[in-house]
Amino acid sequence: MSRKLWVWAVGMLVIAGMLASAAGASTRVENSRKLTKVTLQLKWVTQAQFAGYYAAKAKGYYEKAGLDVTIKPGGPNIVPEQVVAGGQAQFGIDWLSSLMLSRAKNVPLVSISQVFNKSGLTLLTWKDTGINTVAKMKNKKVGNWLFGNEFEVFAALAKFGMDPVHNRGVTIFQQPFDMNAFLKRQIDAASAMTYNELAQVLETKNAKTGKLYTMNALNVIKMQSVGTSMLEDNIFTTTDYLKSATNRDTAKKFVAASLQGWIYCRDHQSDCVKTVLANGPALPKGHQTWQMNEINALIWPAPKGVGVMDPAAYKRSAKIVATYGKLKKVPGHEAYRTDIEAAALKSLKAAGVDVYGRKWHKLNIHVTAGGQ
Amino acid sequence: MSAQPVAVQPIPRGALSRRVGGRALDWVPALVVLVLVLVIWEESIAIFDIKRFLAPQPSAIAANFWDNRGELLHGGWFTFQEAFGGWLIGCGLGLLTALVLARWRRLGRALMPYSIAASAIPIIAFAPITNAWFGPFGKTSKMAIAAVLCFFPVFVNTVRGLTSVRPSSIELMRSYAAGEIDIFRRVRFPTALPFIFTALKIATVLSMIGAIVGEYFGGAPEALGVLINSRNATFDFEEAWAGIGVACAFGIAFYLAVAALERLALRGAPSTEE
Repeated sequence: MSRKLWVWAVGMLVIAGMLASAAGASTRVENSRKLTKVTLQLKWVTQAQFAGYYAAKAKGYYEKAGLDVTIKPGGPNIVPEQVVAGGQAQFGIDWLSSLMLSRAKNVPLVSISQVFNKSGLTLLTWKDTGINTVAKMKNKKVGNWLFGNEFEVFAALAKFGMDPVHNRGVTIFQQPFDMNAFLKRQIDAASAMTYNELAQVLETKNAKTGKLYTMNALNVIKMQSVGTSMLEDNIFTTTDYLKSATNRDTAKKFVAASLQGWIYCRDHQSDCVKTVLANGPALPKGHQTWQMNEINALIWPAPKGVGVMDPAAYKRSAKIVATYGKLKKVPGHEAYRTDIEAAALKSLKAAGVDVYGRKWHKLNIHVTAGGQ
Repeated sequence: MSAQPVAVQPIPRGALSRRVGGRALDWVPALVVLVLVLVIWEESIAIFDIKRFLAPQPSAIAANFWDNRGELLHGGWFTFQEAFGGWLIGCGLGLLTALVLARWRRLGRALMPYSIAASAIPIIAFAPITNAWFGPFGKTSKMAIAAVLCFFPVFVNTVRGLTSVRPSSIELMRSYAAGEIDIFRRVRFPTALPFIFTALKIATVLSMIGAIVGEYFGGAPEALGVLINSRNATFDFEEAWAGIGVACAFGIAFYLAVAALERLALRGAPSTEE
């Protein structure tokens, strides 16, 4: 009899423990009733690529605008469009190409601010291979992460007569999220973001010399220079969300505060690196310092004002996505709205903030081993 | 020579088809349930206006499968080869290890707790490690995961089977001055066969799961798991579901093949299946 009691008691304890942890996980501490709660879903893990949003939170720009923002980092297998469309976040960050793909499949999302106005995607080759242009990549092995990240590279290869979709004239290699295949020379050209994978290569020691690899050892072929670049990080939300005037106002406040965060990161680069580090990124200080510098290079100078969509760049992106994303028609300008970004920019200008960043220039970053 | 009555049903004798498949009529209730589920699924989405990216309609999935059947079936076959290779290796090693440990009991008693503890490790967490060891794009890294997943059920069940012989049978064999090898061949191994086949059937589905989930961490572009993951990322949900369907089909076919093998191997022995 007592043994049955023991089993029952232990069973109840286990169930109680599970329920308590589940309840604890879903409890949110209520700070102030006056702040509107919104959630932002990032495209990737915590890193300087999203410094503007972390800065806006740390410097209190969101709070001053009446927003209580929860920032959710992304990662492999997290698709920001799905998170936002599923209602677990009000705003998301992703590449414009993903947004266009989701819209083509009837997921009702819209871009409200194009934060990055240049593409950070490049193809890396070793200088000693002599492959210093895309044309020379004929019959070579070219790496990309695929899953929707390949369009700029495919368009570049196709521009020079190769057929990357059917592996004719070039062999496409699916890159994992590390640069080992490139470092081991298993591929001839690797896809690399200026702000991430390029730094990972530079932070690695050359086993033969014992010293870090330098830019002198690499050819960095920018998609922006080849002319097949597409627009990348933008802030998006659902069309349903923007139907109410209150939400449109929230969106405007969110965009304005976020852009203000990016302006702060332009003018206070090392302070923003500290803010990102305080949020627990996977890669360390040296890497984040490099990344902050390169990310600023994708935003500044902003000729039309930060966060404003450039229609010509949009058209080019749309055409490339339509071809390589196998869309039935080229996305028209319904994929983005200008009203929110215009209102946000107006409020920033009224506050006397520099929204163009014409004087900003890239710093020379000292690379450390392992990005320490 | 059983001392107590055991509820068994003899394997039906006769034509091969009857032996391996049972009667066709036995399958009708299951088919009815399948059709009902599909109809409810199809209609619920239309009636409740469920968003496409949560669950597409079965008709849309089927249409997409037909459009992409070449790519999907090629991917399924590729992944199945990984699963099958892993199954062969894992089950083979499991059997061998069990034979050794059942023969030398002390060694068995020493190692069994560790093997049970090791089987509790989420094997799929090793996927990035096997990718680093064997390279993410070949079949070997996924075969390794499938093999480890198959090893433990086969090992544990085989040991149980080999050691759960009735003492009276062993005594009888000894009274005939039978050596260890004879006892093994005539008593232990036949007793263990039902246990072994149960484990082999479990291992078939585990191997397929191991191969597909392993591919989520990196695999060849034509592999089914990579395809499912990729289509999900580019919002092609119908194709992702179609891929899942193909994976299920291969897994079920593999299971049924081993089940058929079991029926053939165990003919003449009393079955403990219903």
